[in-house]
Amino acid sequence: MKVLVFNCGSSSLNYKVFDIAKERYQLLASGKAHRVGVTSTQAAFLEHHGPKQNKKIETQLPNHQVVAQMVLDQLESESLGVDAVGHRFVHGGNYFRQSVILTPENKEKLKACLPLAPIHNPNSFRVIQVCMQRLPGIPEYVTFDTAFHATLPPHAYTYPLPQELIDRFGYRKFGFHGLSYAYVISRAAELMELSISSARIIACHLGTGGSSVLAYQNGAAVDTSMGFSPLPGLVMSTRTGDLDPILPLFLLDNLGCTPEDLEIIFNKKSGLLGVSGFSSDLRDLQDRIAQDGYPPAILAYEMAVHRIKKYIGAYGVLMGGLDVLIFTDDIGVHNWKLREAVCNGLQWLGIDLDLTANQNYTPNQNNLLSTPSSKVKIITMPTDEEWVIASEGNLLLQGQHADF
Amino acid sequence: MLIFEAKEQIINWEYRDDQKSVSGSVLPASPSRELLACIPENPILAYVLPHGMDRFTAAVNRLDANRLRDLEDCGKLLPEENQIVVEWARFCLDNFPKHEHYMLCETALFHDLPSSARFYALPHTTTGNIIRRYGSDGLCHQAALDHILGLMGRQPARLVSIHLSDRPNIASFYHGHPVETTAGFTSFEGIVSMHGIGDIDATITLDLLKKGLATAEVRDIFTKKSGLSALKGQEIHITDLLRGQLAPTDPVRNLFVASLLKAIGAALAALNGAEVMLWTVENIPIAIDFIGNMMKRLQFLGIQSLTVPLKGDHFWELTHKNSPLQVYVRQSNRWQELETLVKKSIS
Repeated sequence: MKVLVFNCGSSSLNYKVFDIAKERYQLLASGKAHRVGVTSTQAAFLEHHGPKQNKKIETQLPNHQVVAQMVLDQLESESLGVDAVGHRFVHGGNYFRQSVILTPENKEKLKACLPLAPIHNPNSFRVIQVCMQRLPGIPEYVTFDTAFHATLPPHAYTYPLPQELIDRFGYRKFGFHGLSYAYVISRAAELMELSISSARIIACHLGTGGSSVLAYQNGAAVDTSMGFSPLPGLVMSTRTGDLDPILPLFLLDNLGCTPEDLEIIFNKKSGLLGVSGFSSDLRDLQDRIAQDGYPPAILAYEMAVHRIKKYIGAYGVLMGGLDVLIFTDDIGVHNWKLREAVCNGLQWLGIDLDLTANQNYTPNQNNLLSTPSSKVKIITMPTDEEWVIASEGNLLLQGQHADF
Repeated sequence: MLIFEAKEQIINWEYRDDQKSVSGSVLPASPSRELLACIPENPILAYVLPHGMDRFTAAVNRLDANRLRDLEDCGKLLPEENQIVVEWARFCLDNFPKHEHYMLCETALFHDLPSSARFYALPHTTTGNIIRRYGSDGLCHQAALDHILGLMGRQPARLVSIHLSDRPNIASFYHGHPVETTAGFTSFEGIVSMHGIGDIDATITLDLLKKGLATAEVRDIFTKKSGLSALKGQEIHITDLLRGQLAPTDPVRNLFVASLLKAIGAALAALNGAEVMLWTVENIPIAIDFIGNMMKRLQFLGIQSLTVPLKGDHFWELTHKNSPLQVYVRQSNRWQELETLVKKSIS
């Protein structure tokens, strides 16, 4: 069975085609669209690695529909047919606690989930629509990042609101990047020969768009930095991360804006972009700092580092210590300067980064970056959400579902 | 000196001179005879302003007609924090114009937080410079710093100060200077409190508004109708938690403990670890078991606890001298601390 997997980020789109036979996954094609709909000094492009050709297409990538069309064109040009299509949906709300086959009824429920992750879910939904149009009759299914966090304990997922509001509107912490965490946690446990049931792990999923931190203990997620939506937590590319509860109300009362205006400000105009004033890309900030020490770039970068450190400290203390610290996704894996800045001064938690190993890490591989004497093993690990989506689809199409 | 401090809908007050101290409380709308009788005898009136915004950046501020506008701005812009005390101070200014009036500001200590802790990741060209993190309970943290300075003869390089009250918060100090705190734009950010929401996803705020609630209603929910009391479905005070009246398995207690532990971890991260941890409580014997349990959760930091705390006068030592993290508990003497601050400022 050939499964095409689409994984929409807020500013990226990854895709892979797997040939699945008897639980063996052969990667037939893959690719990634970079800087989709992003304001950046660097060009957007689509990279494609197929059985017959590798390509890098530099062009404007205004939105995810355009990218999905380009991907399907590439696969067609290589005569690569598929038997099923899997999609990542960031937020399943209270509608979805596990993966589902796409049906008209589920499609309506997906629509209801769109506002829950306004810079993710609509991208995935539009890609689903493109696929339904271009690949009629091919089964599609949807996996959810929120499913991984379904086991959060009540004290982690409960917002201390009046019960009536919780019951009426379903407010709870859902957590995100669950597919990525499912992959890196299981791989890290294998790699470090750790017992998953007793290890205390902090995983930092640091992406070019969204970023979050996970605390994992006793074989389950115990807390995570994102919440009801992907907005809270770390300083992200365009999302503000944590805010004071009164602050939005103050802005509404004093700026004369609407909740919809604030939603756009908080999700699309804040974070690194909002503070630096020129780029939502951490790499641009680092370049600018090296180039001329532009103060807003320094501030945005330092705020991002500071927030990550605070979350690592918070979760380390929450779990009574730490065994493994994982950095994953684009920024987590490829940005050694950020890792160095984050780990600097976390020795009190047992984190001791080998500066040379960190700088000389091997991209696209797992790297052990802690010193031999470090109490905490520090590793970088490329995530593979698409593999998790494919494997979930494999089970789903056989009438089962994966239990994270 | 007559000092006023608002707590929820009432104003607590204490009169202090060299011979005596008298205390009481008053509803702002109906000042008691006892209180008003006190006022003419005293030249100094002091008020605790919970939030000075960018208007009051000193801990102690002389209040006169020239500062009235600043004060009213603080009440108007952040009513949930300031309104009652602003109204009361105005009443006193109008009725006792010949007295000296001082405003003690809870946020002043955090006026110069480092930039990475001071700002939100917002486009400040849109939201304005007034949007920043101000901290809270600076007067309590200042008293904690003064206490430690008296004890050690120096400010520790890295101090975590934990204010364990109905609205708890934590601040990190590097050589006596604040570098991080849990409270933010208002005192409602950070650790969950007895009636306040603590940290919440701003998407929920916007969702409530889109569902038709007015901003005033949401403010009311977040500041008065949320927190541990809302979850428990009954009135809870910090003393209930400290006394162990919520079972160790109670999800509401667990939520508070998790919130506190995470805040401690974040405070430690902001300092790159700590040399001293100082808890401030209203009553040490009531709080000591709870703090002891929290210390057990921090054992992995190498804390060497004393089997029996070393008990001083309103100040207990909980760790051996050679512990890498020294842990102390102090019992606040709020009115005396406030009086001392004003006197120091005047002199």
